[in-house]
Amino acid sequence: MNTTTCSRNEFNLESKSTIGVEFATRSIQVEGKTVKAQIWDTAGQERYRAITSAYYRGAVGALLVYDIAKHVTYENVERWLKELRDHADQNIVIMLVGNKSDLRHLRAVPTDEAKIYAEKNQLSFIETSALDSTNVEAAFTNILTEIYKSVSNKHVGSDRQGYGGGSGTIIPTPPTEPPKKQCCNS
Amino acid sequence: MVTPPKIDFADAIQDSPKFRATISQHTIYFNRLESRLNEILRHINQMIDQSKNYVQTFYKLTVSVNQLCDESFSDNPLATKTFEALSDAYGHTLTLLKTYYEHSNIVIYQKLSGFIKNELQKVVEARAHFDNMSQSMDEALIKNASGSRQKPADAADGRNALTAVGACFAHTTLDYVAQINIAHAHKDHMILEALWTFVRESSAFFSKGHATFDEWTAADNGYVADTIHTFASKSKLVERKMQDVHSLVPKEMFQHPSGMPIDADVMMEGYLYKRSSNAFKTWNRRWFQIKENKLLYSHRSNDVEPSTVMEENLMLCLVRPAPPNIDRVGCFELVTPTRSHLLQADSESLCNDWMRALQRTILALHESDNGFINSSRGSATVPSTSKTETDLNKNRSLSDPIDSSSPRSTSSNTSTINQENNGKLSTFEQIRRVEGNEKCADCGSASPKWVSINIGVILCIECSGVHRSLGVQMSKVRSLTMDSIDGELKDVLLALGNNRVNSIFLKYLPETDIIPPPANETSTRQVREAWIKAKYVEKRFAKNTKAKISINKSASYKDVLDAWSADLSMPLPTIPTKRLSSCGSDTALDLVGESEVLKDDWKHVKESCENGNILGLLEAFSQGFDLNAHHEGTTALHIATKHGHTGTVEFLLLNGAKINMLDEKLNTALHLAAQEGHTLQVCQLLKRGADGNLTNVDSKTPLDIAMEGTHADIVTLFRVTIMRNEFNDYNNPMDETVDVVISDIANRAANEKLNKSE
Repeated sequence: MNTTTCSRNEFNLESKSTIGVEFATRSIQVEGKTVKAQIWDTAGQERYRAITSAYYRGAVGALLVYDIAKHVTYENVERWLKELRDHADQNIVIMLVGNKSDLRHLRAVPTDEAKIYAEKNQLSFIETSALDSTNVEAAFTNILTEIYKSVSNKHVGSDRQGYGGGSGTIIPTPPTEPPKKQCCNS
Repeated sequence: MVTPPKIDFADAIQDSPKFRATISQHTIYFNRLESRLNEILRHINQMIDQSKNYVQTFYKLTVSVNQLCDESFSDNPLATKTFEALSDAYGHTLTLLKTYYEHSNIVIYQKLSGFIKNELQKVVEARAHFDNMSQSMDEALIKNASGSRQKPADAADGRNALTAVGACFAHTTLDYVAQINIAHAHKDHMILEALWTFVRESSAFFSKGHATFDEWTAADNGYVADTIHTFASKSKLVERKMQDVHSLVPKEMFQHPSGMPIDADVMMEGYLYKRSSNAFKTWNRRWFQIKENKLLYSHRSNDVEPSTVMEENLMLCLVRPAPPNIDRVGCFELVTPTRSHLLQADSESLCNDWMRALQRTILALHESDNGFINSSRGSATVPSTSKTETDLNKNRSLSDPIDSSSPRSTSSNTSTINQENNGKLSTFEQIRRVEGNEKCADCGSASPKWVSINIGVILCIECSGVHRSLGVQMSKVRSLTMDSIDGELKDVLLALGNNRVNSIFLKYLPETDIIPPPANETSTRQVREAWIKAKYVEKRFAKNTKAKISINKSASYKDVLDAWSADLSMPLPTIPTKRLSSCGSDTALDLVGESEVLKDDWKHVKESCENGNILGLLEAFSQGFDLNAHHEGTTALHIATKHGHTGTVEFLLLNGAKINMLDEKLNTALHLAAQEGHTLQVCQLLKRGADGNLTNVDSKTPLDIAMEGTHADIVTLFRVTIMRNEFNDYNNPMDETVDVVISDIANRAANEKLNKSE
């Protein structure tokens, strides 16, 4: 396990790329180890082209972000979730993120509705505000921890004990419309 | 109802109560007749409507029947023929029915309603007339009766009027009676005739139908019945065979390979578990095939998707048992030059079968020495397919016993296999087919398998050795079979080739007294060396030494070269080698003024770059043109990039063009590619190590320019590259994903370009 620090330790959900894929990196401490994550923000892509399924391939986690003030972005979650289930690894950790929780007066998606949906689909769920930084940190820490645990379980499960599926590792965390992430806990 | 008694004319003229009683009976009779007839007409009307619907539905039925035949039985000629006969019968029936319904009902309707309109209506009208007259008559009688004796004139008037009205009334009455009698007389034959027309139409319909089906049956001659019987007995056969189908299940399921692949090109196929390369290391079950020199896999899904290529060229791979830390049964490892795949079979023996099959394939590839089994198989296609054909038939007899063993399906199979062979020529095969490439460019030996990628000539192994000794700045040698040749390089090699390149390097070859003597297949190394150096290093036969005497720099350059080549122990500094790192900071160095090449040469180079004329560039290059020279504020590389000629750009880079060179606006080639939205070129330049961080005169990087132009794919390419460099030290687990993303984008761009040019 190496302890690298990444140059950009800030990831701001608000600073959406207008086009193309964007990257950010994030490091967190889990069980005394430093985990460095590489985050692929693909939000800009679909506006221009279909996302290539290659984006999903190496991902170990996904943040599916919708705007709590725009119901249509929440409706799209269904489609993104299907994409992920179709193309990504079956063990991918997905987290549903309702962003812009600061826009309380404009809320179009009730928290409870999203929460129930997340439970039904085995996603974890959180509401964030990139504007006032509420829960952004928590969102990343949660999903990274979950991924870290899942991957460490996996390693034990698949290489030493015969069958891969062993340790029931689908602990979905919410998926993200834009960002995708990869965690390298090498 | 009884027909009322006949009307007595005397009674009628007297207008006796008996007469009145009789005509009222007649009126009732006619009313009843009319309402009965109307009822009949209503029924006929309904029949007309319903028969219209019936005919329409029948028509739809025949259409559906025909569609059924086309969709589901079109590949079965026997069934199709039977279908046609039956459909014919349906069609006849429909035509007959249509004519019958349209005629019969309408005729009877017209006749009956005509009777009502003409005859009964007249009776009604006559009755109305009669009633009017009867009233007038009554008035005349009253007037006459009340005539006073004192007024004989009035009484006379009354009498006269009575006489006149009486006469008129008598006539009207007789008219009325006449009309009644006529109606009675007409009714019998008209109604009967109407009903008879219907019967006649029906009789005609049935006899026509009889005739039609007599004809049809004669034509059919039991064919349909026979066919149905044949199919029925075949279906029994299938039933019986399907009972035996379970015997196909091998005794030890998943222990051994289950039969030969149906596709002749597939060496082995079956399910394997594949360990994913991401951090989860999930084991996924996929359908694998060893096909030609590739290892392919695909998902088990309902959609037919093209297989993913796991390894492009098995020749470069190694198979071995999985390392001991993999604690799963039946695992093996496929090691490639860049990574290793872990695969798992369902049993140890299956695992051994797979390893043996892979090893055999790799061995065969090495032995055939082509890196391409198919070309050797190509000639053997006929026997190999015919052998599998028998396998095929064996299989088919079970899987498709209904197929009436028509030769059509088998022959079409063979032809598709051949077509595929032609359509998907390997890169090697395509390059080998370029003019002159069947022989070594320098000595003429057959079947050369090496290539100098910057000069574009195909070489035998001996000559390639000499080329290698010249140093990479002079000639970059690759194997056609063992090195991978990417799309850009392929463009270059297809544009050049031995004949075309020799036409440049041997343009002024004297007819006699060639010094040094040209090499041939049996030449010694020394002879080859002398020949190849004279040809490419000195370019002795490329220049018209008599005509062109050196005012230009290249001539003096050549002198230097000659001097160098005289002393072979020294390296040959023919072309400045590319300096990746220096050009970013050292712009002043790159921006040195125009070299003194003749304007004509520059014009020629410029045009070649604009038109993607690689051969033209090679020619200029052979004349000593400096590919890095600046002219009119730009360079060859910039022009070629701007015009989107990937092959040309590749050629320039291979021959020493500096990838990070700047034009007068301090743009690199990458800036221009980003500006023009040439996705393929961006891929290419990045692959060749272009620096994406340089800023131009407006302080913009190529990424800035791509964002301004909203070229999403290019932006992604730049960002992915930046990210990859950033992560490079950490053994980036996303490396493979990055590769796939880049190649996806490149493929998409290549396809778009292809579509556009078509």
